[in-house]
Amino acid sequence: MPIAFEQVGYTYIDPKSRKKKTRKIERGEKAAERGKWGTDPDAIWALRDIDFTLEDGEFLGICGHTGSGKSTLIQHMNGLVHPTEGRVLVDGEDLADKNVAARVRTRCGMVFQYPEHQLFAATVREDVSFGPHNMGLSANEIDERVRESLADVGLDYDEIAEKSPFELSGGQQRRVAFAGVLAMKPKVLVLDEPVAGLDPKSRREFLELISDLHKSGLTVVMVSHNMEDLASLCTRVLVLKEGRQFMLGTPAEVFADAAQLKTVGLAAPAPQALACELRESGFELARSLYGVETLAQDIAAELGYLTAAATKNGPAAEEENLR
Amino acid sequence: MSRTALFGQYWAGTSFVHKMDPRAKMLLSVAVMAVIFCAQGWAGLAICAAFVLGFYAFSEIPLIQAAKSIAPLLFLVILTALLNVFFVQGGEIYFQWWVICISEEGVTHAAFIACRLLLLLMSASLLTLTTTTLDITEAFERLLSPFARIGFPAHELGMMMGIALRFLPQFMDELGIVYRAQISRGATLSANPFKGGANSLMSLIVPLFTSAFRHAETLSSAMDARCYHGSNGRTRLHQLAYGKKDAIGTLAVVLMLAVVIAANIFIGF
Repeated sequence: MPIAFEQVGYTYIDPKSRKKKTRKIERGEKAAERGKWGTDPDAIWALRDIDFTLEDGEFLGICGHTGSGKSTLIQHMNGLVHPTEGRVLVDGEDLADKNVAARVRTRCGMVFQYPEHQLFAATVREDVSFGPHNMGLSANEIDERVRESLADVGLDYDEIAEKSPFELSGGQQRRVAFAGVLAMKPKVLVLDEPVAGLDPKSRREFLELISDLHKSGLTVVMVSHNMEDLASLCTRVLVLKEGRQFMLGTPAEVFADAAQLKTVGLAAPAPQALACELRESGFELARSLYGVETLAQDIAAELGYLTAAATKNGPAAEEENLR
Repeated sequence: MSRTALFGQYWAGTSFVHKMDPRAKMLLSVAVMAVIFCAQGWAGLAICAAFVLGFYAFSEIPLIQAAKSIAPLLFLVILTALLNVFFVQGGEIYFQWWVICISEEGVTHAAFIACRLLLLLMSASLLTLTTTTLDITEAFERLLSPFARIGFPAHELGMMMGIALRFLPQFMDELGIVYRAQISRGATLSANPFKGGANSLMSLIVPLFTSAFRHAETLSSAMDARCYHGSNGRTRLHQLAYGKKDAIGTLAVVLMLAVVIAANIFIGF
């Protein structure tokens, strides 16, 4: 289920003038309209010229400064927000069509920030079954899905299903909310800062869960401010700046240029930043993207090589051990 | 983001009306509404309309913004008008089918009621457009303070009103987020809230209530932390004081009342 963004622009100006604008585009004044963008100070665009395709099976990370349009962008993916300019295609179908949007909604699971604030039902079971119920599934199917999705997020059905979601701890509530989305068996999972406000342990567990879901075949889109998480999990990273695509590429490509990232108020992951600095001062570091462990190994190797050249003894053995 | 005035949203300015004492404005807007009810014929209503538009002119609020600010409540006007069209009978009959009967008196009465309601909305809206919520609550509190001696909780009520007004936009935002989240889970809420069944409606209301309780708890801790302990010994940075502008405003409203009464007596339709 690839999701293609074609020259998407979005603005929060009032609906009347927005409608006029879309009509104009249909008349083929698209290019002229886009020419005006930079010049009109009153039109504040939340998104401009977004053009990329979310491929099946990828893990796309989205980052950017506060107000760079991340949340607006992801809401385009299931038709909650319709582009002012351009279009969003899912499987080649335009999301502007209400029927298409309704169909896509259950296949594109959207997990908002602090999803636990959206719990409402009297029991966990009821809350998780809200999505499948809305899809019109049979009672048996719903029950099966609730069990499955609760197991997926690491909760025990028998222990928790009849409890009120409000009795649970914050981390558990978030798992329940997450299960509520998973129960719809989406093909694409869109996460808006899924680990914000969690303690380190649940944070790690949650990221593992997301990684497992991706490995099981789901396409994942994750908005995050944590560059380390993005570097270690994503297959592609999109950096937004003031609503525009600033960078798009593999984590290695995006995080290679720490100086460039700094101009949008972001920093490369700490190990990668250190690697860049070391490289500038003359270290030879071969990898394009470093994590903590790989960097430690390569530095040790490099240091080992340097000291081995000097003493030709002990450190060389150490280097062997490391390998 | 473009600036649009919603009903009850303050429109910043430094006009004559903005600078009036909020207590005077509050009392006068109630008085203006009473005067509008006094008008018994079209002439009286026209005079009221002229005065209300005049007040708007002195507030320097663009008329388009004023219209936008009451637009969300127009359905109320239309509903009332429709009810009057169908239920007030008399005079020439224009249209009759089954139990529906539209008559001359019904139509004129409906138009009259609609105009009166519109003027009422406009005068209420003028108060909130030109007065910050903080000023409104303070005026409310001060106006009720004489009753505090007999145990009436004026300060508490004012504080409650202020907090309620402060959180309205917040809850609107949160309702929007919850709405989109539940829509994403396939809820059918868009057109008719009752179509999707009680469960769909609950999926919005329950999260909204829990968030209200959450906010209430954090807010009360925050107030405690800043040593809030009710009205005892509490002083104000900006003291309210009646001035020349309030006297002029009062005169204008008295004049309005006089003209409307005159219109009722001498023109009478």
